[in-house]
Amino acid sequence: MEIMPIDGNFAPIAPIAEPKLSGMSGTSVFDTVMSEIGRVNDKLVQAGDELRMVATGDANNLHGAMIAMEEAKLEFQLLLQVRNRFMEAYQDLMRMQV
Amino acid sequence: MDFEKAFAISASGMSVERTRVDVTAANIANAQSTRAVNGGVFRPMRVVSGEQRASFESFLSGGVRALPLNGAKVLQIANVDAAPRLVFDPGHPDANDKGYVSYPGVNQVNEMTNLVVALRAYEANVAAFNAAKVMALKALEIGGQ
Repeated sequence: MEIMPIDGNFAPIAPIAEPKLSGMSGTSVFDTVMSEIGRVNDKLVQAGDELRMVATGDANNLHGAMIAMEEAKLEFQLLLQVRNRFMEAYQDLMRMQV
Repeated sequence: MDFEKAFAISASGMSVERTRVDVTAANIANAQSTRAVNGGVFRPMRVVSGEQRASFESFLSGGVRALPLNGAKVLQIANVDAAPRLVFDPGHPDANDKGYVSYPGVNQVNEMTNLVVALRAYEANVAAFNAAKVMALKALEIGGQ
C-alpha cells in the first residue's frame, strides 16, 4: 500500500452556518411575560384601591369592588398558569440527558 | 381579557338595579311626607333604564370580533303622575282651607313589588357574572394536571 504525501491542495473548509432560530426576533417571550406581570400588578393595585374606597365609604357601589377583585384574581391565576408552564418546560430541559 | 366584557355588562345591570332599589326606598320613605324639597307634594319616582350605547373606542379596540353587546344604564328618573292622597285632618299644619292634607300618591303594593323585582334582577346579574367567572376559571384549567 502506497502512502501519499500531503501536498497541501486542500479545499478550504466552508464555514459552518449558524442555525437561525425562528421566532427569536423582536420581543422575546420573557418580555411579554414581564409586561403581563405589570398588567396583573395594575389590576391588583386597582382592586386594592376599590377595597380602600369601600372601607372609607367613598365607593359608590359594592359590586364594583367585588368585580375588580375577581378580575384581579383571574388575571393572577392566568399568570400563575403561564408560570407553571414555563417551570415545566425548564425542568424538562434540565432533566434532558446530555 | 375577553371575560372583562361580560363582567362589565353584568356590572352595568347591577348598577341599574341598585338605582331601582334606591328610588323605591325613597318612594317608601316619603310615603307619609307632606312637603317636598321644592314645595308642593312629594311625587313618586320611577327608574327608566335602557341599553347602554357602546363607545366608539370599544368598537375600535374590539375590532371585527366585537359583538354588538351593550350593558344597561339608567336613562332617567321620571316622576309618576299619581294624584295625591287627600286625608281629612284639620289639625295638621299642612292642611288646606278645607281641612284636607295631601299625601304623596305612593302605591305601597307597587313599591314592594318593584323592590322584589329589582332584588331578583340583581341576583340574576350576579348569577350571570358568576357563570362568566366559572367559565374563565375552567379555561385556566386546560392542560393542568
